[in-house]
Amino acid sequence: MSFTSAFKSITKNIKDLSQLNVRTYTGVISANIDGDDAEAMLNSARQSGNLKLVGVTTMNLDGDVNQFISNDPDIKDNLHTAHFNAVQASQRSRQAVFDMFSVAITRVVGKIDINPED
Amino acid sequence: MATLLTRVDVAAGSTGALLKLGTALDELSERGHLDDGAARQEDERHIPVSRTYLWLLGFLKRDNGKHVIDRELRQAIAAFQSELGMPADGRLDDITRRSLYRLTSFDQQVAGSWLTRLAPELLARAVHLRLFSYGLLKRPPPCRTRTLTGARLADYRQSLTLALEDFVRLSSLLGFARGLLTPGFNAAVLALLFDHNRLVQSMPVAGDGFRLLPPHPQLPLRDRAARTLVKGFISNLALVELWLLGYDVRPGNFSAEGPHGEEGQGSLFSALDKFARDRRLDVVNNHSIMLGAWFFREVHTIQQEGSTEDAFEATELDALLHDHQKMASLEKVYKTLGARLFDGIKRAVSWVKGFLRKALGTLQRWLRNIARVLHRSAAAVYRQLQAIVRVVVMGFDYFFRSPVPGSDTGNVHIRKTADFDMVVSISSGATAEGISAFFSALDLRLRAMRLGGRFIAEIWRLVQSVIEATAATLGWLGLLFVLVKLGMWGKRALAMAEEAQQLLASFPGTEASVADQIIDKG
Repeated sequence: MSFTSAFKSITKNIKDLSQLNVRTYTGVISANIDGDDAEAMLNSARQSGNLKLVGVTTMNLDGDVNQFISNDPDIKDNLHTAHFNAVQASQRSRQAVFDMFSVAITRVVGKIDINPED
Repeated sequence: MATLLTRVDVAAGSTGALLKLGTALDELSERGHLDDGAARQEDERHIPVSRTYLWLLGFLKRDNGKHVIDRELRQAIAAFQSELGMPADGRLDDITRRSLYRLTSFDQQVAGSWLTRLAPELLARAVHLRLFSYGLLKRPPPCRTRTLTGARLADYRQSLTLALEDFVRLSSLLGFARGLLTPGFNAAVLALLFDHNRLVQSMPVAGDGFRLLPPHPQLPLRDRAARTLVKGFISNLALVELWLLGYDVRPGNFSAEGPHGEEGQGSLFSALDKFARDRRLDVVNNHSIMLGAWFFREVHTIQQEGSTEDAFEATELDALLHDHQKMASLEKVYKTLGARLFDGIKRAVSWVKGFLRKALGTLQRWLRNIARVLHRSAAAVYRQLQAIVRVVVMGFDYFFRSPVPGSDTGNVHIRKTADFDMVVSISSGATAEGISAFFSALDLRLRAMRLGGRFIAEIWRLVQSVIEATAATLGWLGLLFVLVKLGMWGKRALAMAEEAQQLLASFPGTEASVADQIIDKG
């Protein structure tokens, strides 16, 4: 298996590697919020008031970070902490994936003659 | 031997019954000829005679006259062989019998040189028997069971020496030897003592009396003592000759004073009377027959009537005995050498066996230790690789699964995409501890995924290196290079394995079994 085919299989569901999104909700969670219509179910639950948004964090590849943190007094600090932990976990996971394929990436990049003066 | 045959013919005409000893001597002269000795080793016809001879020499306490070799006779033969210098096997073989007859039979000429080579004990016995038979010693040879020591032994030797000196005096007085004999156990004296026929033939036979010559200068003797000595000796010489002729007498039992017993049987005088009658001599009319020159003249006549056949060549027996002793000695040397060789080989084999056993034991211990070390190492490597595999499996489970492993709608539920965009749902009923525990487990899975990624990257590097090395160099050098690479890779893999084990130990019990479940499913 070449790196190209490996990338193909792995990045099948990767939509946008240039941006990282983490959303955190709290409330009564339905047992089947997974699947293709999970997003719709989440929106429906949020609109019905069953779910409250704790925070949203979006990170771009260029380093820009957009972050929303709810100031709802019902949302306790430990939920905010959980959101930040999730953001951190997402970042580190993505880093791990990059590290895993760094060998191939290095080889590919190494073959390109880059002149720092240019 | 023809001389003996003639003597027996003379005795055959006598009316007296022969005693057992005379019969045995007849059988000896008729059948025990030395020339046919090689044919039979233990001819029973020789047994009674040999028994008598051994008794005379003191090797037996008594002469029972049996015709079979019993235990006593076997022991006596063995003792004789031992003193003769032969292997003491107790067999009455040709050499043993000839030697015994030669020493004891009075009918053979024995070389003085052969006698001087005998063992002192055996020579003393044979000399003692001769001196006793000629009346120069009062007692027969002592029985072998009587061991003489100290003063008794010295007295015994002294008595033999004195008796032998008397014999030398007699030789001088009667003119047996051409020159003067030197007293002692020398070849000349012994040759004369053991030559009965020569003594008989040397007796002066002119007239009725005996002529005495001047005494030996070294052994002076008064006239009266000389006459007594000569009288006793001549009487015993005649007695031995009559015994050899088969008459009813024995050597050594003569009393010079007169006839024995009422009928005079068993005495010199009765034997002389029978002899004179058998030969139809004039002296037979004399009521008190006296020994005189007539007897020896008649013996000379008998000897001249007999065959002139030569006696057995002593040199032949000497050579045979010498060869036999040499062979026995050589056999002993070979046996000793063989025993030593065998013993040496046995020791060498034993040493080699011991050495091999020891070496094999050491080798076995080494191999066992090496195997134990290899087994431990292999088991350790296996455990560590197993830990890596489990961690890699858990990491990829986290990578591929959504919602992430451990998600619980009652606590924390994370739905993720392949690029790790996350939707985190926290139940309103979740406790702070539950949330913390979830994220701790998530962190462990994340670390497992990172470790798995590194492991795959290492494998990839290894494969790449091996492919490049194989392409660059072939043969043993390439293989060596690959092995070096493998070793270096193993070193890094072991470091990762250690990390994997620590990571696995951090997982809660239920989480740690996830990898096993996945592997089982796989």
